[in-house]
Amino acid sequence: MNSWAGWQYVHNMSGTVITGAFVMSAVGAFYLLSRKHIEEGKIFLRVGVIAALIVSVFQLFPSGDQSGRMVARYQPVTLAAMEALFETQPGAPLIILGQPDVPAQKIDNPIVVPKMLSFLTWRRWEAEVKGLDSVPKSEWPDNVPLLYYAYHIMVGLGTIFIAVSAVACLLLWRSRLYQARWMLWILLLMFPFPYIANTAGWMTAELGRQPWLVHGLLRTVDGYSKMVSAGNGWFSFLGFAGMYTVLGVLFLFLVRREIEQGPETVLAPSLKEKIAAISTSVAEVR
Amino acid sequence: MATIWFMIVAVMVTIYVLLDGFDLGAGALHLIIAKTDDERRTVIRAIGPVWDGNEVWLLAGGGTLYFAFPLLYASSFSGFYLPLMMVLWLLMLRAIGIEFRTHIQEGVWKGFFDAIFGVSSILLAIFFGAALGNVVRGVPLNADGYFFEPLWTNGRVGAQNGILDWYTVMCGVVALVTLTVHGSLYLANKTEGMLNNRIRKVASFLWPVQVLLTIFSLIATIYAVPHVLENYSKWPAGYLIPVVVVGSLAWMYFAHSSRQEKSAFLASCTYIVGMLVGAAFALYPNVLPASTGANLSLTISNTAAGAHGLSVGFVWWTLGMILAAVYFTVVYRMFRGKVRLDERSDHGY
Repeated sequence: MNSWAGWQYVHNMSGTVITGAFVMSAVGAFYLLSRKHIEEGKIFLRVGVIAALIVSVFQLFPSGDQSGRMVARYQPVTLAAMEALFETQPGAPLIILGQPDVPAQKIDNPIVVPKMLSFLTWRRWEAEVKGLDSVPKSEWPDNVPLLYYAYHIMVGLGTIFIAVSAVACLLLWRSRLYQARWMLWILLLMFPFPYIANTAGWMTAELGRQPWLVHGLLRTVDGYSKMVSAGNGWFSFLGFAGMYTVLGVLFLFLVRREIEQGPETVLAPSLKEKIAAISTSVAEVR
Repeated sequence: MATIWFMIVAVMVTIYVLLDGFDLGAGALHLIIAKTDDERRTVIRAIGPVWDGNEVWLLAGGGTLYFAFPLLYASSFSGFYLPLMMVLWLLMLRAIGIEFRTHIQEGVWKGFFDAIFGVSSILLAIFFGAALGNVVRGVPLNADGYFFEPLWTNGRVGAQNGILDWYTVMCGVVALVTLTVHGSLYLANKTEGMLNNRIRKVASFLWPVQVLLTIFSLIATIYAVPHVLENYSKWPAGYLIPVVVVGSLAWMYFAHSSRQEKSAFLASCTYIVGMLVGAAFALYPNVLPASTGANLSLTISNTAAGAHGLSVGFVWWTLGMILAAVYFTVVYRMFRGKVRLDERSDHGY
């Protein structure tokens, strides 16, 4: 069994739970803000923010932490590109913000935490972390800036998720969450971000593994279908893009309608119908 | 071991055609036999709890192919690139038709989703038939074992063939009629009243068409692909297969006319098994014959995965199959009997 696979699986699945938790609390916040379905909205919020906090923390530690250490151990170049660490160095810093300039091999406008990357990776402040210079350029992931941004968007959003859900849980604990309109607004507006974080995480995995399909064994250039021309590739790409656009529009339309209808309208008529059916049958018996 | 995996893949494809075949057939008939909204809901409900599970057999078959014959998978999936993409789109559209119909209740859109469901089912049946036709006829493999087929070239069976030529189109039509009959016999088991009468009429009407097409496709195959009979002369026991096919057609006729719908559906299952086993028997040991020369054909021996992998895989495959068998037994048992709209449905169809 591949020891990496377990962590990747857990990381992926808890990403989906975070999405569910934040979407649920966003719907709850929407109901409370628009003053309808109040009781259900409170349940949504309560379950949503507690689940969001537990799973967001779990997503950082241990699942994200372990995933990162796996990358460091087995694919050090990938880690270097994710962190835009150009030089191999002891006591490597963690870049919080900044734009990688790949030709000049430096970070513009950096905000860094000194020695943090060494500690996170090897649990020692002075440990050496391999940079991109440890291998020839042909072994680098093809698109270092995009990989760097995808990874930083994922991690940045993950941190925001912890902060938001922690504050929300604190308010819930102090019984102030349902009245705190500013927090409800934040929770409502949070709903797209787990989707973005998941997509960014996927991009990190797929860009990070380049230029390999199977790390160290099969390069991407050797793995694609040589018999399929680029024109045919475009045909299927555009087809799928169209198909998913249609699905996306239908999805948003249906989800919006479900939220507009609210939880009780689904249950109430059937209950009413049941009562009506019982009363008619009672009337018939009489 | 490679021979066992050849049979496994053949069995999985056959199960797929048997199971998804009837819901594709039901979809192909949807627009014709079901006139009112209640009737259309009945048709969709008759396949509702099972159609997506049935489609998993296609996925599982593809996965098994990838596992057991990786080179065949690589070659055929890039060679059949365009039709495979279209099959994917059609499968997606079909699911959209079935699922969104129940969620978007406005009248105009119901008809729209019905049309998507019906048309995509018809096209899928034709595509799957044409795919089998391509495998039987052979594809233009090069010396590396790869090929790329355009959708059509000159319509002839030759070295420069496309996906669609007269032979594969004929296979598509045979598949459409076979699956439509299959679907109508399934629906005959699941429905009552006016709808049931209409479905039975369709099945009666299509039976002679199916007989004629079976005979025609047999002659056409021997004409277009002469070497198809090699295995039959090598192992004459294979001639039992056409006997089974003819027998199942007769069985279907008598069972259907005496209103034994279950028996008629089983006859249709036997017919499909006979036709597919007949094709697999003719192919063996090839898995993808070359139209560019017999020495270029992909066979079980030059495409199979390593011996160790195949043995280990057999254990896992068996475990997976036991789970799948339990699942399908439970689902079909729970879903037995006629479909009635007044009963509760978890899907809201």
